[in-house]
Amino acid sequence: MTEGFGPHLGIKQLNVLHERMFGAAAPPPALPRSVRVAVLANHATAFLERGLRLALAMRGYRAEIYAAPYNQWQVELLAGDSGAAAFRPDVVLLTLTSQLLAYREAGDPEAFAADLARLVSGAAERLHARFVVTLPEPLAEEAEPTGWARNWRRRLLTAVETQLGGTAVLLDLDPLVTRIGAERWYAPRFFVNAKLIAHPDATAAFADHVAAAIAGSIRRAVRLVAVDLDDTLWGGVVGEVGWQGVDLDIEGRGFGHLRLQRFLLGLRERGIVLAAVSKNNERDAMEVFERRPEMLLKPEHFVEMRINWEPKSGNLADILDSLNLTPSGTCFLDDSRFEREEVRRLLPEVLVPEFPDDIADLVPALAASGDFSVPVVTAEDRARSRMYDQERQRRAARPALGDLDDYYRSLELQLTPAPLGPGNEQRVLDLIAKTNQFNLTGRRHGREALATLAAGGAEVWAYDLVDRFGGYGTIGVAILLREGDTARIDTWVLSCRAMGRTVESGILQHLAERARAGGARALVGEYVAGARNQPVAGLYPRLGFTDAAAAAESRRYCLVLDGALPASRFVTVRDAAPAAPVRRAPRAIGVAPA
Amino acid sequence: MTAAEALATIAPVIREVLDRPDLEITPSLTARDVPEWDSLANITIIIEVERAFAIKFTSDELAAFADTGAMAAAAAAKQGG
Repeated sequence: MTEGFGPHLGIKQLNVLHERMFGAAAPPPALPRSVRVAVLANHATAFLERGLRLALAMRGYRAEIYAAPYNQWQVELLAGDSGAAAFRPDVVLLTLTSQLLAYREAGDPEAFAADLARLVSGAAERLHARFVVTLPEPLAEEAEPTGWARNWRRRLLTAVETQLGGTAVLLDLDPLVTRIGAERWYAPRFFVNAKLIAHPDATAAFADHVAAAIAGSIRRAVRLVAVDLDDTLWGGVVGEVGWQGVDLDIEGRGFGHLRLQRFLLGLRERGIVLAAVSKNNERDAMEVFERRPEMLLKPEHFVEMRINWEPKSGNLADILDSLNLTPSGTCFLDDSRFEREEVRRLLPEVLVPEFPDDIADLVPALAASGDFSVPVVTAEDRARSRMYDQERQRRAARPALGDLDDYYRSLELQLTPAPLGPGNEQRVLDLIAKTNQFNLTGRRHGREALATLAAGGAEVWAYDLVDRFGGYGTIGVAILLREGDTARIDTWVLSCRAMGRTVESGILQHLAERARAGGARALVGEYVAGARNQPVAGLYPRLGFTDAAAAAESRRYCLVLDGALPASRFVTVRDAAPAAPVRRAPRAIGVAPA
Repeated sequence: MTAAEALATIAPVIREVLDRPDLEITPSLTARDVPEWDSLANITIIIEVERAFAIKFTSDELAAFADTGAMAAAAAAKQGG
């Protein structure tokens, strides 16, 4: 129905198409999903809105758009009663043109980035919306290699990425301008007269680029890529030509295949897990990995390899099962139309991209799709592949029946508490925001609320877990409030990947020690029933608390802190780590071809 | 090229962008005379006119178009008379 929309459309055709689809006379288009987008900018956005409506429709979204008045973005971000706030957006698009920033607001790039980060993080919390922020576009002045503009923008991009990387999806416009060409992009006469960021004929390409990032910010992120081998990771069929015969020549027919390998390796570095699914004799396929030095991907980069003659949908379902992943977070790459159709039919939620006729075009298409952009890359993401490997080993070590105590003991669990700090703040916020099952009170404190609590004397603890197979990363958060001569656990969440290992007893041990050290005579726990936290309804009684009181919305439990404190049987609680240092800021994600 | 000749080239462009095949185009016609001629249609007309003549108006010229005749005169002048 959005037939004819594409980044190549000129503004005249874009207007016509928009009128046909969304004009007063058009029937409302039947689109499977809807999204509310607030557009904030320091340039005029009326054309962009039309383009966004079309580009999002092409991706299956009916877009409701609120456009803030021209150059009112600061006020819209700051004011609690702004138009953007009243609109209740799912996504806020903030797009700021270098054409104003360079000569006015952002003369000092670092100071500007700090202001911007403060505005955006405050608004993101207040609006409960995802933010997509376009990075300031290249200036025509940058054609001069040693001029001021390059230096200015490099500083600005670095500062914005550092300050905003954890809060917003940052969208790089450089690939867009490179793709459509400076000729087609730059038109300062329309900035002067109509406050347009670029030539009107660049609207469709700009909107398409932004829509990919918007869709990427709300779609369930791809967690696993399952990839075929023959004619996908390498050229040719190894069962026919042998390991010596497959194409892996970067200067020849192997180019597209190696390009795909590098792309997949890059995904893995960002926390997307790789699996191989191939119809082959396992020995034949493994020889390519072992004996062809050109292979960028090694067996250890794959969390699972299913090389056999079974249907691929079955292999894929097994892999998902063993990793505890869902089909909707999975992508399947295979050059064979037959295999793609089989997986689509049996696992309809799996993302199955079409293959271009030329394998060399595959990576640009995948990159441009936005399906693989990760809004915020944390150290947890990067470590995910490794953690899945360790989880498999743990499962293998678990005794089939019987002595669980031996199993727990054999894990050699070690818990390290760390106070809230700049280095773990993002992860703490993520855990509080996303944990549903092991979440005693369901309180979703945001960045500002957390800072207020900490400033008011609350103890905010993040817990890191290690066992003999490796590290789990930060898996739990607890917030302890002093109230008179008691200490209350305001918030307690534990990641599901650390459940079922008695870790909670280690956290309780630490909280009880902290409470008594602070002079409390009793520890108070609360349970607020939510939609999905039934599994922890009986947690406090199980940990030795007694029923204290049932208030309207929460149930309180009490543990008197005299005599021996509760001690975990299987978890060693280590001394608190110092506040974690700041992590390097995540890179901005461009969604255009490399 | 005279302004009148330029106007003859411009007229179908305006009619097409505004989707008004019957619109009478005179030198004194302004955006205020046609309900469909809003600011977005205006920009679209300008770049379609630029395309038709293979020219680019300057910022000053864009700011000074009082009516359709002025646009035609500017286009004719840019074409090198």
